[in-house]
Amino acid sequence: MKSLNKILFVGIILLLLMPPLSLNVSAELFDKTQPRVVDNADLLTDSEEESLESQIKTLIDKYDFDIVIVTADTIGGKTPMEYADDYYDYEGYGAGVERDGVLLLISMADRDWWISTRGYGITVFTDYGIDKAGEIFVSYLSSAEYSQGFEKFLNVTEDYLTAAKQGKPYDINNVYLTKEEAEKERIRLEKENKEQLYGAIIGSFVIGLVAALITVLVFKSQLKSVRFQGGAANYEVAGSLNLTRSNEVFLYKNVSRRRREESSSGGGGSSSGGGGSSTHTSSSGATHGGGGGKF
Amino acid sequence: MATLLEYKCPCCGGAVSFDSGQQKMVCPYCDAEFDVEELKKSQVENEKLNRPERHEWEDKTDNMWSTEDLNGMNVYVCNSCGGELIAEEITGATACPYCDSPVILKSSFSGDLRPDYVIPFKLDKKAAKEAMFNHLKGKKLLPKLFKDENHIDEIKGLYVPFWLFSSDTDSKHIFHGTKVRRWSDRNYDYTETSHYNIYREGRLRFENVPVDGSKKMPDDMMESIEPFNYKDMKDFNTGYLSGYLADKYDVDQKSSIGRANNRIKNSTIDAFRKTVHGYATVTTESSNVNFLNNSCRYALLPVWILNTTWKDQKFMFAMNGQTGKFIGNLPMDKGLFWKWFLGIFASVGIGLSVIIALIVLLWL
Repeated sequence: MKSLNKILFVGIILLLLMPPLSLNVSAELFDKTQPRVVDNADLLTDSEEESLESQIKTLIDKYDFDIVIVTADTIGGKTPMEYADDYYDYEGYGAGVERDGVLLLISMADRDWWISTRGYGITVFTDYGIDKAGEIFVSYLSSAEYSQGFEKFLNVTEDYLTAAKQGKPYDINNVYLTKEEAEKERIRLEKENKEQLYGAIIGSFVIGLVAALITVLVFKSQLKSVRFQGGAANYEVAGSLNLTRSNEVFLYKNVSRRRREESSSGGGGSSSGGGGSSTHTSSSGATHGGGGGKF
Repeated sequence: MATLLEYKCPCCGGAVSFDSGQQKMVCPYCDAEFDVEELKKSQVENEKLNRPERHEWEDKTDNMWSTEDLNGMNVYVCNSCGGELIAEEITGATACPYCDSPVILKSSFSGDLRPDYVIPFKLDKKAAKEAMFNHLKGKKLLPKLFKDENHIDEIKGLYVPFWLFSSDTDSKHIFHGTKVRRWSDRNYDYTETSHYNIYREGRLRFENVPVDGSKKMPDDMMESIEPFNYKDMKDFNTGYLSGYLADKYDVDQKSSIGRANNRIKNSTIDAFRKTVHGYATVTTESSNVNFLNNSCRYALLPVWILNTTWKDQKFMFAMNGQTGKFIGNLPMDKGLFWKWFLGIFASVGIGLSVIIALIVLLWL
């Protein structure tokens, strides 16, 4: 009796604990058990693979956003874009209904890299963002430091996710700077500010000099009140001016022209046209963003 | 021997002088007031009675001075006290050094030396002193001690001889005018300058342009206290001179006319240039100014002269005795000049720098 009760009790407890697992429908849509590092070209050691895998898991949990790295020796006649899109779609990657996520494909056949985005990933990775990410990790790929290259990719992805979360994904108007670039930019700005400050201080003293000069000259002129009169306008008899002849003859004219300066603000139209993410439709019918290059 | 004129009070016999406040002759002894014209009439009658006596005096004085002693000077005998006055030949009115009676030296204003007009004094010695005080006020670079240490040697109300020139000008002028038009297309800004030849011809009248006829008075000072208001100008009467100093001219009208011509010419060109409208720039190319119907009058105009000394330097000030316009150059304190210069330079420079630094700090 007692043991039956115990079993029942344990069973009820178990039932109470079960629902969160069995009822988690959205979790079923997001299969986190699949490998996120698919090293078909065997570019990574096992430990590197594990390290990357765990880093990706952390990011996936933190941002509810899928991240996949795929390396391949050949891509079977497909373009890198098609291969990456299809791999993402048919292997069932992606978080949530929109299957948010990003996939980085490295194809060794023609040394291509491609970033494919879907759902929220299209927002996170703008065209600019993809190019910028490429700039950052391509040099590592070129020198066969694949693990470091992928780590850079993960770092950039995390930064992009953070920015997108704040509603300001990196784009042409909101450029992404790596730590070194940011430092350089900070130093440049500091130098520029310093120069401007010095310029302003020198300008202040020039203004001071002019103000002082004008003031003392005015003061000096107060002391002088004796001077000859230039004319005799005081003694003109009012209304006695009698014009007997007057005419005005046009002689000649000349025209000079100067090239107008290009106004820098006029370019606003073109910059507003740029930016954002361009999309295409994959073979599965899903909308993808993406971009890539050679390494 | 020159004769001397002194207006006597018909009531008490004291010497009367012209009062600028009341614009009348006032006797300082019995406070009786007289109109200038009336007094003159009564004086003429009195003179007829006095004539025999005066002849006697003249004989006496003739024997006592040799012409050598009187080089450029004349000797007079005061009608009030009998004291002898020595005055420059050009002096027309002065005061007796013994009894301070105002006296007028008739010979200076007789014949063709007689002025046509006079503008009587309107402002007195007190006003002149006050104007001097105000003149020194607010002058930032005036040495601080000038006001206190500046010693007034002499204040005198002086009728200065002026030539008043009047003329019709008949003139022709050629001006050069430009008009500017600007427009732009997509690539260029255009500036079109049109040039015009502008011709003007006509007449313009000037009346009573004053040129001072006294060598003693610096011309620039006399021009600086202009203008005088000719509405108050009276026909000349020696009565107005009583109580003031007066000189007759020692620069004749021929030597003075050049200055008047110059001023009239400049103003004529200006006046005709002002008839040209609607141009961006107007420059005078050539002018021809002819003078017609010239006339010249001789007038005595009222001027207060103040001579002062400061640190062994002489300073001269002048005030228009009619309008009160006060002029006179003042010394500059070089130390103050540099103090102000460096003070403003440093405070503006540092002040602006601090403001900019604060803005930068708060903004960044």
